[in-house]
Amino acid sequence: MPRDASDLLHGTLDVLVLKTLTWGPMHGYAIAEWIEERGDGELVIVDAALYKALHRLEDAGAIESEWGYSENNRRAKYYALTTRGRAQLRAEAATWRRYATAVGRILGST
Amino acid sequence: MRIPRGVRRVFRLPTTRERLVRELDDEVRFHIETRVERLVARGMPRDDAYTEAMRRFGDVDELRSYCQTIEVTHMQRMELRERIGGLAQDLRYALRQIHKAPAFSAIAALTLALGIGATTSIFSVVSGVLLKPLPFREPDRIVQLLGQDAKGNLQGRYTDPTFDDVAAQSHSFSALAEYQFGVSTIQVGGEAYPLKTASVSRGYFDVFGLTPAAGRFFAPDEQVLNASPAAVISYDFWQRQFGGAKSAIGASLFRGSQRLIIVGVLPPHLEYPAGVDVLTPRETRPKSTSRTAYNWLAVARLAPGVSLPKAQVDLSTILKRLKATYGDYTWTSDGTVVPLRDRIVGPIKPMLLLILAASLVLLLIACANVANLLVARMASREGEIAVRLALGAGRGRLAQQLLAESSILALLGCVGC
Repeated sequence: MPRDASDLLHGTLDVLVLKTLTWGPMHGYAIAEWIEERGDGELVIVDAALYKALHRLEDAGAIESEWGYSENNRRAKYYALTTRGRAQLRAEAATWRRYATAVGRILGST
Repeated sequence: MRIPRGVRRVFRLPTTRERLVRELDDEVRFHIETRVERLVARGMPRDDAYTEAMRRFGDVDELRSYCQTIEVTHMQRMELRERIGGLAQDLRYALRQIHKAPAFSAIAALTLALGIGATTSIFSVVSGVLLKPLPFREPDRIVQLLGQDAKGNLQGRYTDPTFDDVAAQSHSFSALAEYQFGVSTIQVGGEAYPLKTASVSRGYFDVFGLTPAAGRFFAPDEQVLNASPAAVISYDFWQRQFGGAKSAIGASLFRGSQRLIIVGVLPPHLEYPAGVDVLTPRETRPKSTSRTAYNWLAVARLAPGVSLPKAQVDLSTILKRLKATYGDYTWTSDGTVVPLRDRIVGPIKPMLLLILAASLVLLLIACANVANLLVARMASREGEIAVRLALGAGRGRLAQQLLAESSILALLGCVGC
């Protein structure tokens, strides 16, 4: 059953957004689509939550935004990773992996 | 086009709430329309696709208020940062200005330093003397007894019989004592010193509410005629002469051929009259019977619940009655009670206030001089001010810069004094 990503651990969505943006600047819809595809449909994102994360991250200086034109030539707001965002992603990804490993180890123990 | 961070602020471009809402709405509309198109492309009817897209988006209003909160706190943060940055800039600039004109700055700072220094030093004296209460327990209950002499002047001297009558007849005081003081040559440890000594009657330590720092105060058998002479010494004298040693209790002092045995030490900084070092019991010497031998000062502690006016009436009544009884044998026709503090600082109070006022005037003159210096200097900086105004400095911002300069000068003045 697909999971709402906002149900996940606090901050998870932020990491996913940062990771997605390592592939280059994207608008909000593309980010949502990308996360859903890579998550094999296991993660469904409530769009409002995604935009909250985007504005939160922009305020923190992890990403920056710029109005541009989409593939179908429509005005869209593009988000790109900043240097600070890259550093934040590295730190949080490492934390996340350690956490996941620890939880996995506990669940796997008999 | 995206405007880089800060540019909007520098050029005072509008960052209004409407712009934020409009941009957010554009962003959300694009998202929903894109999703609708994808769903339609997969064969969903357009109406259903729209409903589905809205459902998946979630609460737009909540998102809007969330983003507004972020924006508002962001603006507040930026404003604060800008203000602090501006202040730091002003202070740096002010320091540079002072460095550039060392003679001017030194004169201004020195002028202020003189004004401030004079005022603060005078004020510390005034506050110590006029504002601080006496260091005794409940000091406002300690009073001095005054008597009116034949010429109608109030003065502090009492005779033995008058004092004894007052002590016996008054009901206003919880403790009452007479004392006199002078300078005697006291020998101690083979050396002789001129020391301030006081002879105090029973009740003296109760009037001031003292407890000994070491040893004890006088015992009843030391407060009788021709008793073996005992002495209480001041804390200061104890430290100076005996190094605060307990062995001082029981040690001997000599006044002429008379030997005084130290029985106790006054608490620190609580000697009265000021600077007294040796106290002896008054009762070892015979009392005078003359009602014109004005050799004693009288102090008392108001009894609980007795007001100053009540005590004044009480004393006045007794003294008038004594005058009526003894006629020409006494010169005291009336009297009153004043707080001890007023008696001590009373004569010098107007003088102190006058000096304080003078020092305040001095400070004002110093300020006026510095203000003149600054005005003169401003005249030579008109060009700089004009440039700042032309570049868009607001009046407030300009005032802030000049205030920063003046504050640093004032600070230098404070450090200088």
